[in-house]
Amino acid sequence: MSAKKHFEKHYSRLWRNAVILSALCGAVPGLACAFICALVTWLIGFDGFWLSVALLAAVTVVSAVYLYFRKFRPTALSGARSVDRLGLEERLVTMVEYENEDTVIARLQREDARRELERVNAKSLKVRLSRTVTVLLAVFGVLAVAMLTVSLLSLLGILPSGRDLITDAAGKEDEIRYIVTYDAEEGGYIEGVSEQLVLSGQSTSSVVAVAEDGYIFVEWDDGLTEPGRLDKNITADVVYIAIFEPIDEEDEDEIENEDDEGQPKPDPDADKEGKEPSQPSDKPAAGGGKYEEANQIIDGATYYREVLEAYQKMLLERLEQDADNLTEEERAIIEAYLGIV
Amino acid sequence: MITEQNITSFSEQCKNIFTQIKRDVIGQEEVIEGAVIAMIAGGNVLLEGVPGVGKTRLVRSLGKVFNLPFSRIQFTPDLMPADVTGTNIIVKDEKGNSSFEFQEGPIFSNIILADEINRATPKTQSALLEAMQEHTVTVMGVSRRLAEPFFVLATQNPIEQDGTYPLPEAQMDRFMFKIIVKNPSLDELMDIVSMTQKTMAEVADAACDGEQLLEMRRTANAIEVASDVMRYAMMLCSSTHPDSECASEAAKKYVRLGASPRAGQALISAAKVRALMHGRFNVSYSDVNALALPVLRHRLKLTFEAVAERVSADDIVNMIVEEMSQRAGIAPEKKAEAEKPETKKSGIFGRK
Repeated sequence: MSAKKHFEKHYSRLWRNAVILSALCGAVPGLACAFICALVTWLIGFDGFWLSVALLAAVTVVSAVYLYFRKFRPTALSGARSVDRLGLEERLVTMVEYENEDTVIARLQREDARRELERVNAKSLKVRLSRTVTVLLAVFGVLAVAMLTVSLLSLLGILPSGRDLITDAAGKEDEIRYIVTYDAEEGGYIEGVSEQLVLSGQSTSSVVAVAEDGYIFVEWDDGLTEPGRLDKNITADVVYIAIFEPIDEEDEDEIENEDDEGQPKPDPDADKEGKEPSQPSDKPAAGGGKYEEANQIIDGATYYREVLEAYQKMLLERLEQDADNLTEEERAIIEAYLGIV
Repeated sequence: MITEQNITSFSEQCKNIFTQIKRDVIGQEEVIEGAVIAMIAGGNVLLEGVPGVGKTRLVRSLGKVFNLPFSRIQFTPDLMPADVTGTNIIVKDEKGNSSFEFQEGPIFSNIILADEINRATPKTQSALLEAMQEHTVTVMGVSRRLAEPFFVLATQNPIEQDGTYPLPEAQMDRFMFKIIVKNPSLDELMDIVSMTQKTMAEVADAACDGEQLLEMRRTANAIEVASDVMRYAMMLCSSTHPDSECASEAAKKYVRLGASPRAGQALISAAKVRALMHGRFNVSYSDVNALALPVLRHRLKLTFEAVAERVSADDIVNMIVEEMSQRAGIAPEKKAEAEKPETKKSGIFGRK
């Protein structure tokens, strides 16, 4: 059924309204696509502003054309419904439906309908958008405009891309810190920072367990026998406790038999006559470290004391020459050592 | 075959009918319009109202205006079906042979006033069922056709419930309209009292006869109904069922049993008459909305929830009309008209 035939006077208005409605309804999917495209491209760090604009135009045009031919194109019946809404009380719908009826009533009805139609001003036919379309248009309109603005600012370099923002945010999350605590039992103290905040996988700064007078360092609670320590690759909160024990008289005698570095004095005949070095007692050596055989002979040939003496000599020379340029770590070690001696 | 002459005479006769009824009945325009529409459309009417508001007077006036034989049956608890339909009596001929002869009851008339119908027992009430629907009466296995046009105009009092028998759903469904007769306004009351001081008798003259009434019915039946409007009317009826596909929210909540297909038939038949009375040759949504109340109000069986919340059938019908109007996308001006049908008084007959 042709709308032109029945609504000659109103057809241009009906057609214009159909085009506007199609465009507005078609803009809903267009804006939605533009919003999604702008959002996705911004998030993945791709400059998608022009792509989004192109998508907006393309989808709107395609949807509007589809909707026009599928839904809004003015037919005689749809036109009759529109005009009837202006108070014609279903005259035109009935007229269109019974246009081929040849009874007196049908003829009178057509005359009545045409008479009433003549009174209708075409300008009264207004575009009627449904509430749902209005809401969708407003929502997607705001979202699309906002996202396109962000995309444009990102394209101009004013705003960072979503990807950069996500990377930064993710990087900050990875900065996990752990607390490493060094503690000392009775008879000693920790030289250095006793509680340290360390990034995951990083190392602590070195500390030294220093024994007080009348005590000797035994070991750390994790079994490390060196008083100085520097822990690497920290991956959890951890507490290390230095263990000390008092020196009894027997130990003191033993210390007297030791050299200046706290090592037991070796049997002078041992090397000459092919003897093994004298077996030290199981008591811990003064100055750090538990006395063990492996502590005395480094590689089966080099005597511990010789290396220690050389190191001590080197340290002393350096101390004399360049005492001010010592690092904190070296200074702590020296002081701890001297304290033990 | 409907001619232009039929249309013209329909308009003139309608004008005459309303003019003559107004001579006897003051006010109650909505009631008069409803009763006349039902009579032209061929439906029965149940008038409900408190005593003294003019129900019986209106029915008597209608009988006079349509110039049709009129019977009044006062329903009481001891009224028997045979008192309504008639019965076979033994008569003797000249030779002294006895034979049964059917003695017609008061139902063999064109207009029946069933006064206080809810005072009769269900057995007697049901004697009217066949007459109201098929326009026949069956006694002792013999069916007899009633004269056309045939109408039952029943009245009932909603207040005095002692010793009454509420009409069953089947009988209610056979009334095209249930019209509520309200108390007259102050001005109307003054006019009523002034008029009845002179004479209590009805003064209305006949405006048309039975044949003309049947012609008016045929003319109205020829009115076209667009499929959109027909669909809307049927949707309105169907939406009263809580379990139908287009059930309204009000029906789901407050209705136990909705309107029958008879309601749909009544709605369209009456809407055609109303359209023609208002000078249109097509049925509009406004006709359907205006008639929804008298057609549907007595066909709804309400739930306990509705009774407990004091929601009346009228409230429910109004809710359904509003919801269906929105669903069908009917323009606001028509919805407004549906909400206030009593305000729409204009038509080609100049009744303000």
